[in-house]
Amino acid sequence: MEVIVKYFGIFQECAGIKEKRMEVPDRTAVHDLYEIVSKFFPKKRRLPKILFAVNQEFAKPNQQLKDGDELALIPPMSGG
Amino acid sequence: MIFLIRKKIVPEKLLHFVHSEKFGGNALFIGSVRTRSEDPSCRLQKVRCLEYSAYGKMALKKMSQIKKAILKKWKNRGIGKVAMVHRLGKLNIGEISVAVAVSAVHRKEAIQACHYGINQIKKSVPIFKKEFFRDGKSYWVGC
Repeated sequence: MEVIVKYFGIFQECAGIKEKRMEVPDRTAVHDLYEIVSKFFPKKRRLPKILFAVNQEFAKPNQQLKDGDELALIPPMSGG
Repeated sequence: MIFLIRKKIVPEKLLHFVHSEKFGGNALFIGSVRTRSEDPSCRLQKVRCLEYSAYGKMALKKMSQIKKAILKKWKNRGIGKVAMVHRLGKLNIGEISVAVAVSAVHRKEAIQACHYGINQIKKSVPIFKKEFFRDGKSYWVGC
């Protein structure tokens, strides 16, 4: 199945991309996909606490993804 | 009225939107860029500018959910209208980054709901701030 991973804030800066389409096995969970994409972050950089969103709703790390889902890696929010 | 905008926020537009003859209380919160802020080591630094970015689609969705929650929470207490606008892009000192306006029959509910609205924006809307200090350093807030 295909999913879209979206990067924001410091994660976008670290990865150097805004989004990435990825082919992943069925029943891939949010944390499985994060393990894959986090390998591309620079090792020296300390990454902040992360939240996940699937299709614009906050999601738990064990949530299973479906074909066409949009997974967002959300750094600490600081609006206001 | 819910927007993420790159142009300057005009608070009067939010007040105009929420105001009506039915509602006697109109509360407006304005957040703006201040001259000093703490760096990650908690040292107070002189701010040069800020840059806001967002997960736009989700931010608008979350702001709509906050608005719905306000209308539900104060439903039987004379709530009127809600307006929320957040700025994106580079902001200089003194510029308005966020504005929330709420009207209600009475002032108490308007002020309470406005307070709730800005708190929820800070807590659950995916907007990200990078601070640029006068010494040339920059940091993502909260990271």
